[in-house]
Amino acid sequence: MSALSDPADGHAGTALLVDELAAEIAIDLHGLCQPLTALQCRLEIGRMEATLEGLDAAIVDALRECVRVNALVRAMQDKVFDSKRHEMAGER
Amino acid sequence: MHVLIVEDDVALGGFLEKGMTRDGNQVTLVHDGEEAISYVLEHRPDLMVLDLSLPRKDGMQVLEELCGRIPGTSVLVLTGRRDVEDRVRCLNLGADDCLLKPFSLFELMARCGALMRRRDQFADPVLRHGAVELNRMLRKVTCQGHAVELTGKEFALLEYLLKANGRVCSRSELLREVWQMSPDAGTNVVDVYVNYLRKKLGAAQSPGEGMQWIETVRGAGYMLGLGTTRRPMRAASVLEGTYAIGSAQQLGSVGVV
Repeated sequence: MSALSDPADGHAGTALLVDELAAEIAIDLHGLCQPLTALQCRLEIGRMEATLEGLDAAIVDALRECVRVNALVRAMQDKVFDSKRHEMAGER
Repeated sequence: MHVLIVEDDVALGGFLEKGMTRDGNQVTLVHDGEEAISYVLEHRPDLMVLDLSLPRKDGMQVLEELCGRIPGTSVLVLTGRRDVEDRVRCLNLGADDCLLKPFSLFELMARCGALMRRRDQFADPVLRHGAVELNRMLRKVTCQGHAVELTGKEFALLEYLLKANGRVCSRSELLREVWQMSPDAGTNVVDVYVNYLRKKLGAAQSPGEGMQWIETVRGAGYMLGLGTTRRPMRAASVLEGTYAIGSAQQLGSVGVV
């Protein structure tokens, strides 16, 4: 059974876990919007400038935003992984 | 146009500021709700781009406090929240548009442009600054009640300065917005036309008045001033202080409603 299974399956503990996970992931996704928007806008500015220096500066800034995106995605992956581990431990 | 960006994420705010400035706007960036409220009430920008998640009063509280108090300022809300209820609440509190994050800078700029076009449609056709009046519908200009005959470009230049409402406009901005020429075009056409305008507005005044409405701000550009001084102002005094805006407000010369 997946951590994101239907809470209506009668497992109250799993349902709680899924609700908590969904709430946490929703917050993280909201946080992810910031670096993703920054990344897209910065690359678009680079395109607007259309000079070698402008594009280079855009790539440097964009890579910095990628670090933020990666950190947030990794945190979400960890949460999903932990949630699955707890669920499996409960089933045993 | 004069845009206030309210965004607490330093990187994103900086990129929005850079992009909107590159698009030809005069942009101010603040990072919290309280700063946003005091800036809007003091400077009355044309547009506020407002993030919802902010420290020291969030975007919703900013909208609640400003609701009905800033008819001349359009508001575009940026949000990462998908709930329809939030967006509906923002619109009911006076926001003109909402944009969901993540978004493209091009979409943001297009929406800002559309908001300004809509606002202009309902604006007073008469722009005023002191004794200078420009009727956009009738394409007529008067100074102290006397008609001033202007060419198309002179009219467009005066209209742009009037819409700037006492803000300093750089030569490159005027070149781009009025002549649709690159700032690197290497021409003095702006200075030439400012001189034409000064002469024509001066000629329309009563003998002996000699007021100069278009002021040179050394190192910065041109602005519509009090109409009393012929001395060029220092750029620093205008950029640091409130003289440029204050002069227009003292005259009660709200350019665009």
